[in-house]
Amino acid sequence: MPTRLTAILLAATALFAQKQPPPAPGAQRPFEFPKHQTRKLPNGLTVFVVEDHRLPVVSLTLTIPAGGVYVDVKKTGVASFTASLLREGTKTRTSQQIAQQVDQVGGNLNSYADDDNARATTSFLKANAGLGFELIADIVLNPVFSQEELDRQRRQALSGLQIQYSDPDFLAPVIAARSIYGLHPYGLPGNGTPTSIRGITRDDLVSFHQRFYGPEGSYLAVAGDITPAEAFAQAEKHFGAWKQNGQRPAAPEVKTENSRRVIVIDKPDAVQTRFLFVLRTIPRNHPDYLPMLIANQALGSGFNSRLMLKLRANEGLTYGASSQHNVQKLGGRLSATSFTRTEKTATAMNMMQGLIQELLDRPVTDEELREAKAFLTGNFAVAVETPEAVAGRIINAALFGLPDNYWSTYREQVQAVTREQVLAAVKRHVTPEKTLIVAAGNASGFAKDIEGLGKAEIIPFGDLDPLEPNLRRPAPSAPAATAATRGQGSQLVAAAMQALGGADALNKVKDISAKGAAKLSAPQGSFDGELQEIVLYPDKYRANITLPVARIVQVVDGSGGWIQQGPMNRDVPPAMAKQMALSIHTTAAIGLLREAAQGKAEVNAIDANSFTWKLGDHTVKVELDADRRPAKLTYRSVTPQGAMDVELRYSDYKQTGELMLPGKAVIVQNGSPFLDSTIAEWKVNSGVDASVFAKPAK
Amino acid sequence: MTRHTIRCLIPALAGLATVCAQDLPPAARIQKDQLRNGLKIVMIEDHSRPVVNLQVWYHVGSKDEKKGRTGFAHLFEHMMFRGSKNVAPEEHPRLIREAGGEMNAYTSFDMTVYWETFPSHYLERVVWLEADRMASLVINEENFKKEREVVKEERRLRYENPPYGLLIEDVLANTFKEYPYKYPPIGSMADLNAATTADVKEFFDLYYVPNNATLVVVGDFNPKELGAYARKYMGPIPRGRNPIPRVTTREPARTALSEIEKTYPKAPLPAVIGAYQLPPQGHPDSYALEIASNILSNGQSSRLYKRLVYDEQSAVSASGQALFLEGPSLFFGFAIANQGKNIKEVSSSLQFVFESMRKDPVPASELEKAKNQVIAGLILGRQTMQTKADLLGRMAVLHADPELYNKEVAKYRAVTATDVQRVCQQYLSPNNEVRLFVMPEKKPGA
Repeated sequence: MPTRLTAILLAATALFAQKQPPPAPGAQRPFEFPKHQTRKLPNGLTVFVVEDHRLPVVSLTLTIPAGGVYVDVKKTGVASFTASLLREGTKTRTSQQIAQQVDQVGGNLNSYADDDNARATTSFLKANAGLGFELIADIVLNPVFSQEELDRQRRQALSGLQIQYSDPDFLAPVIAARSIYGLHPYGLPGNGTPTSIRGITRDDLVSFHQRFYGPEGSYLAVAGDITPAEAFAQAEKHFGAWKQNGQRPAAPEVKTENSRRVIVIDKPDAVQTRFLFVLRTIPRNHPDYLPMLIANQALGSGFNSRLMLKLRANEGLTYGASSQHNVQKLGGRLSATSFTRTEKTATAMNMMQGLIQELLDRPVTDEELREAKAFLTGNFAVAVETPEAVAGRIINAALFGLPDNYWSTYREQVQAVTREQVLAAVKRHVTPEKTLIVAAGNASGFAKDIEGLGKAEIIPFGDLDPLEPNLRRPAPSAPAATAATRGQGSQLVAAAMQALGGADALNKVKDISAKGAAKLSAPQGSFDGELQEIVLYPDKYRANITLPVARIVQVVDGSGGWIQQGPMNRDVPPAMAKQMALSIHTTAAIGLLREAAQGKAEVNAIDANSFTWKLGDHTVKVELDADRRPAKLTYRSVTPQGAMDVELRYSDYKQTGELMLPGKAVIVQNGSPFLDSTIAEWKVNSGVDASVFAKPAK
Repeated sequence: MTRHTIRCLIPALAGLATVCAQDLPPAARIQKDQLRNGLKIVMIEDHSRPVVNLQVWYHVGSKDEKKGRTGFAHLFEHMMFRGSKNVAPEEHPRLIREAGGEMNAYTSFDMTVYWETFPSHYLERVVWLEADRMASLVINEENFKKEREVVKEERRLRYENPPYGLLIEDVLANTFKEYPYKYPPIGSMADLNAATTADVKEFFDLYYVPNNATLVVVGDFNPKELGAYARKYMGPIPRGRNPIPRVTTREPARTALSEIEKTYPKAPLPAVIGAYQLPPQGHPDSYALEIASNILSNGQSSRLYKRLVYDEQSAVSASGQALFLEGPSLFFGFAIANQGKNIKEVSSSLQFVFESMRKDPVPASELEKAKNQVIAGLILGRQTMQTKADLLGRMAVLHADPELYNKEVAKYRAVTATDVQRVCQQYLSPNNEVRLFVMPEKKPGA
């Protein structure tokens, strides 16, 4: 007789001694994988129909082999942009007309690409099913990829990435994929990177669409409240005229081999670390797929997996720990992941490494095998509850070349897997010593404690660039210095000094000030304000930025510096003062050229118009315009938020006394406009006093 | 209806195509039962798949937490997986999993819900499992401390680490003066640390009683059989000894706009969020407010998307959403600025769109669009046993009217353009708004 009780016990075992077993299951209700009909249209498009009249809804899924795997490294993101721009305008409908038609009847229409495929999906109420067919065909067959829509999409994507690139939960898996597949497209973020997205052109999209979008190898699944006859008729009506443009180029093979690598993405303000352990495994149609699926169930699928029991239930280290076996057409990966607070990161990571090793040392037990099979077979009916889910499985079987009866015999195949097969598969594909490890968090709080896992490469999150071989954005390139490049460099410096008014005139400059209007584009928004810059050579610089919302002052004085924002002022750390000091050299490029001419800075020509300038830790690439005047200064600036690639562009040169000085200065950070100033007045040798750079009392 | 039918016959007028009369959520036969100890049962039979979704709704949420114990209802939810008389810690998930089932639980402001989706021949086992933890709970000091760490990790994951994670906390804190919705269900770290096993016992005895629970079951089962299992396993559990306390706090009405600015070190782009106080769920105006929400932000032709995201490109995302609760509810206007855009200008655009809703009645076609979206949503919201049970539970427990499951669609269909304009004027006005600007930390250097 159960009674209501709450027991507070030190050891729970006493109470469980007399526990009752759970009731046994009743007789299982039969369930067969729902039937579907298939028809291949003359143009090569295969149509599947899953008839299901439970709800008045018809959904369509069109899968086209046009995923990121067909895109060159430098163009990463083109497959994704092509797919998502499908719905942003066709020959007969604008983007807004498409949206209006879809929304008006409460439908939905989406398009996107993954590694292997592009997909367009719709879901409409039965009465509007015809409209669903019409729209999905129109966007796939007749997209226009207008420049305006591309630019809009690009802007949205860049803002989206700005948010994602500050999120460890986004960065860690991206870098894990990259570390496992190298520069194969499977390793690159399909949605593009800030660098690659800036380079995508309309021609890229048009040509990708032309080459890869066609009926051959594509599948249209129709699911829901529609008869096969109606569905085939609609498919023929809307897709019958779709033509293939020649043969699709093949996807590149995956060739990378794994070896241990530990990458730490450093985000100093993180309170929690996201970490992953990844291994390359097998593609979907490999005979070891089911044994590996079962091994993964035991390792990290569900609340009772080894990872969850150890890291969450037993240790309370995390809210979640799991593993996935992700398979694609050409490859697959086993990845285990979790997250924990900074100070427990090393403990949790070492545990995870141990649990991966245990797959070999303590192979999947009979109990685990039984549970995994019970789940995979029992869950089958749950997992295909909706007609879309049924259609999704049918498409997958087709894409991966699985036999026609794959899903109708799936549960029998799972039941047939033995412990020996699981262990053999694990031995073949799981090599714990080769796992690639990625952790994103506050590196100073854990990096030294994971040395046992291997030597960590620590990358500040702002420096990450998945497209680069070493994952880091390149510093401004400096060619190998030779006597010849140095000589040419000196000539370029001399020419530039001549163009600005001659060495004599430049050498006379003791102080210089600029004043003008400036537009500041900060994360907070864009503001119109005033900018004043004052340099007192050799080591003092002050910038006053006056905005409607605040006045910001930045000063470098000798080796120190301070910043004032509103009523608050503070000293900046020495490293930042050093960064700020670069402005002494770059203002109108005067300091920089003089130091080069005096031999204090080293210069090396890159080509006939540009050279690198190096002084201490500072490296600046200087490009001259046709009149030999400095037009673009490029350098890397390191801030607490990560490294920033800065471009300082000068133009509109005007005569000021003996000198030619720029009338316009533009600063671009990481490719985005930051400051755009129009200089109204330059003053040279106006007798600037050192007190201008003194920090005001608090 | 005639007009609708005619349009349906001419789908060539694609832009004008509309939802036909037959495309409505199919009516469900809702069955009710109640045990003598007060436990309610609501059911919908559906034998189209050999699958059942079973949920136990406890009518207790974060708003019921006592002072200094924010986050406790949710922490308690975790403890329900740490063992009961006949079920060892972590055994519940294992028993569901080996049945091929899925399970989890969630805690909101007003309720705590435990659910399982499983092959139908395991029905008795699942009722037994839920009964065992309703009847008895093993509270172990060591497990409690571990689970508290798990919950703290959940807080770090969802709130402290993501770029805008703390937004909801700040919005609630600034929107509610009195009502306990001023804290999000996750609670504060300090309160989580202060919680004890004595609190667990007290909470269990007070709220986890059959007369505060509803069993919601949808799928392939026989109601008589279910009733028998419920009586066998849950019937003997006694009613709670004490009356269940209910929140009686009144939230004062707002009278003027208040603007707040906060700096988030992790936010990469500035954002603005306006929160308006609404009447509770089920209020006659709630249906027109939901229609307004659709007009503002459902789909790429919605007013906010079209103006802020598409035309101006001033925002990365923009939305207007109602959050209906048992107590005073909220409507949010929300936008994240695009790169290089001034958030004050984005906010003005957001205001402009809200003003358009107050100024003129929405055109007939736009109203129809919103209704079609709502109806499509109600149909798609009935695709799985689980989504049906979610809805049925909400109607049965929070609205105390399971039949609303079938009647809701008529309430949306009855909304007029005048209703929408009136509710926008009444509730979505600056006098009733708290506006929070989120600014990224200024990046020095460069």
